[in-house]
Amino acid sequence: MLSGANVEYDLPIPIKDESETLSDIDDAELDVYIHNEEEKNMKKTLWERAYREYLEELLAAEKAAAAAAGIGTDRYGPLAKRLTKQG
Amino acid sequence: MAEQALEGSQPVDLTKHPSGIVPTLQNIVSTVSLDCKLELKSIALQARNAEYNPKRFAAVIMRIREPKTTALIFASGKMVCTGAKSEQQSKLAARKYARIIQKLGFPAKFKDFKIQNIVGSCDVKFPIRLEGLAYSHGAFSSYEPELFPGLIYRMKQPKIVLLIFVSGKIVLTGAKVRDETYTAFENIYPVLTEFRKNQQ
Repeated sequence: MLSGANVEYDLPIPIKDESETLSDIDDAELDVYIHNEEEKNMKKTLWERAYREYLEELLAAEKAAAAAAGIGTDRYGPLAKRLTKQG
Repeated sequence: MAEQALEGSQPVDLTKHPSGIVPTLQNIVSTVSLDCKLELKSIALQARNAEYNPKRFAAVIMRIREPKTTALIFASGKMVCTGAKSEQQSKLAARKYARIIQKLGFPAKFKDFKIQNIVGSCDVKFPIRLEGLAYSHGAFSSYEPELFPGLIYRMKQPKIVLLIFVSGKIVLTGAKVRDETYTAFENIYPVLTEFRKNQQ
């Protein structure tokens, strides 16, 4: 008994390091996956409401880290991170 | 002239598949770099086919219908594509995801595409004595029927992991190219026939 009738024989895909153009992809097919402006705004409102606590936690964590490093929130960055780890 | 056999309408090349069985590819995992940083929230809010739950997992999960696949898209610009049934389909799907990201306003490229894993499966259509096989090939086998009903066979060359079930169903995973899957199956097939369970 033999099997494998449904096997798909593909040519090996050469690995290329250089960037490839994607211009041959059918844009009309992909447009269905992208929201229009109204949908986008609605989704933004819903998403930010659903994740309000997460967003507030993020902001609070950033402020706390900056405060612990003795650096104002407007200067939060790699130096602050280093100082925070040491402190 | 290559010796061939017929299965349905598809000839099997017996010089390459002497067992007469060709494993079916079930899942391809590939990776590619889009070579730019991504704002995941922006992607999630603009794409209909995207979900992003940053508290749960730090990547956008995106799906397309054809080829039917799922992508994990990270802020670093790295992407993982799963679910395709062939290497070509995996690459096509990855390119579609990359194009969607471009259309959302990011300067995405398509660099270093690589097939990371190929899963194949087939059925030898006869039952197998897993205990005997595990005992005889102890160095490669792990068989704990109380934990998992299949025998786990870690082939060294090619480096493929096979799951062998008493029913004769075989799963092969770990290949980077499909020939590794095919070679692993041809290597194990004589062992399977050796440990064929005779019907009582």
